[in-house]
Amino acid sequence: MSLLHIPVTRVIDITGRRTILSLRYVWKLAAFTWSVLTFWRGQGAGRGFNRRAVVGQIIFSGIDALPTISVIAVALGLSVCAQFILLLQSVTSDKDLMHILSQTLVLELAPLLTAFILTGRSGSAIAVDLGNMKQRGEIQGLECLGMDTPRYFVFPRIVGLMFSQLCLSVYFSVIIMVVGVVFSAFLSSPANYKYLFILTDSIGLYDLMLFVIKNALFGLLIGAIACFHGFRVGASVTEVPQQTQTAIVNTLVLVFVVDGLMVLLK
Amino acid sequence: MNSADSDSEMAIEVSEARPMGFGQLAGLSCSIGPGERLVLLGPDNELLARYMKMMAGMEPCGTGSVRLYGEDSARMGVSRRRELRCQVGYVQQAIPLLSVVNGRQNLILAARYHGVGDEAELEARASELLQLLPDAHQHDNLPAYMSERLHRLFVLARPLMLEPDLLFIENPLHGLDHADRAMVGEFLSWIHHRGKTGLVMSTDDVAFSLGFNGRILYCDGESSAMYDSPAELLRSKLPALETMLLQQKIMRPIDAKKLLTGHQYE
Repeated sequence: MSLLHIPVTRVIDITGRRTILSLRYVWKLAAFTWSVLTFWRGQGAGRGFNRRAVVGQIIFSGIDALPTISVIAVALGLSVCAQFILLLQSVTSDKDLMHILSQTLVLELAPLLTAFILTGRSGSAIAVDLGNMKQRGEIQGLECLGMDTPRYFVFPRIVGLMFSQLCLSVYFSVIIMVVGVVFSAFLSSPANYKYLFILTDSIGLYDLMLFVIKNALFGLLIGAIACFHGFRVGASVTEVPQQTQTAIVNTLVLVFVVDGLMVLLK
Repeated sequence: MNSADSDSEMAIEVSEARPMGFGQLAGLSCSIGPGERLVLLGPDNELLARYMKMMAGMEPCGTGSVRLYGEDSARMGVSRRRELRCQVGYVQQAIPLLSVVNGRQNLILAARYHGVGDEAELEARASELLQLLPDAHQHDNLPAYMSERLHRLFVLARPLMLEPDLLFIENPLHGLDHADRAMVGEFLSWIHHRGKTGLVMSTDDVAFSLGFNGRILYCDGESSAMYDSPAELLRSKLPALETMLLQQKIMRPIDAKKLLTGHQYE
């Protein structure tokens, strides 16, 4: 039986259903995130006390991820950035070369790869952590104490991840460019060190703004989706890996979608 | 409203109330003042838990009315229900501590969230409670590395940090051996004698409810009856209660008399 035997109406039906389900998912995710991020507009306890939880999240997602980010950035600096410089410097001007590098490596590759690392490292950990707490009834116990658990757990994680994503992305960009330029200078000519100074001129204020917005959105997505799925775990322990897997896949898909949409702003 | 303000009135007034989705059950009526003691006795712990949640304002009632500090529970929003936990604490059966923080932090967590005192005040309150708990060397351990009895006592102590007028506890002796039951019993007795917090507990253990020496509300879903003292409960002619006493081998004075005069149980 081949695909050709499936009636067209059935294909349209399946596509329509999948689209509606996806839109409904995005709507629920947006509502969940909005309710958590706008708590400061409401009344009651728990507002503005989560500073230490935000710091904890930054340490876990940001500082603890530095070794991984460093290794990947150095490797990519050696393999991708240095090669780009060596290949392109003979066919284009220095200014254009730096423009290409800043647009592809700094503004595209660095946020995307950082988001992947954070999704795999922190997003999965958050989904498992919250999922286990939910499954064991720990969250229910805190609700009995009058705590707004989505607010208590989600807000610091989202803020911590947004900040970590932005800082790690900047760090990643710096490492990849410095290593690439230094390595290309080592292989080719010491004159290549000039690229380090030209690079700063090739990134405009608007690019910088997009870079910040993009990273903040990626951090928001990673944190919100991981928490959303963590809180979706019910009474069965088998739901924890299921929700974690869904969280990671959905995060990656939405990160790519947002990245694609950001091109429209250029 | 704090306990001083509310001394003159009833904290909770329940009138012919049934839990949501349990319209066929017997309606419950009672009044509980701040600092009072009451045991909800019945053969079905799950059913008692539903009644307890309804009485504590954790869930709205299906029919009848529940008033907490003069406020209709059915009209309360989610945030008001959360705020209420500072006055009416609730401990669910078999609810674990938060696994990611140690015992001391578990105690302070909710109090800090609700902003009931500054850090020094919270530490002092926590230290007062910690002095009463056994196994002091485990207080700063994660819950996974605590003994079962210490874990249970931490769960009971946690809402006391909020200094509620009333503390609802679902089946406090559930699954404990004899030595641990005595320890939990002592802790409950300390809560009562401290005089700040009244206790409302559910149990299927008649001996425990008799030893508690307070009012006893019998409820099995089909009938309910309030007894002002253990002696009054032992004089009860309610057939379902008589069966429960028989099953748990509780010898009443009247039964002892029958036994001495040659009467046998039917």
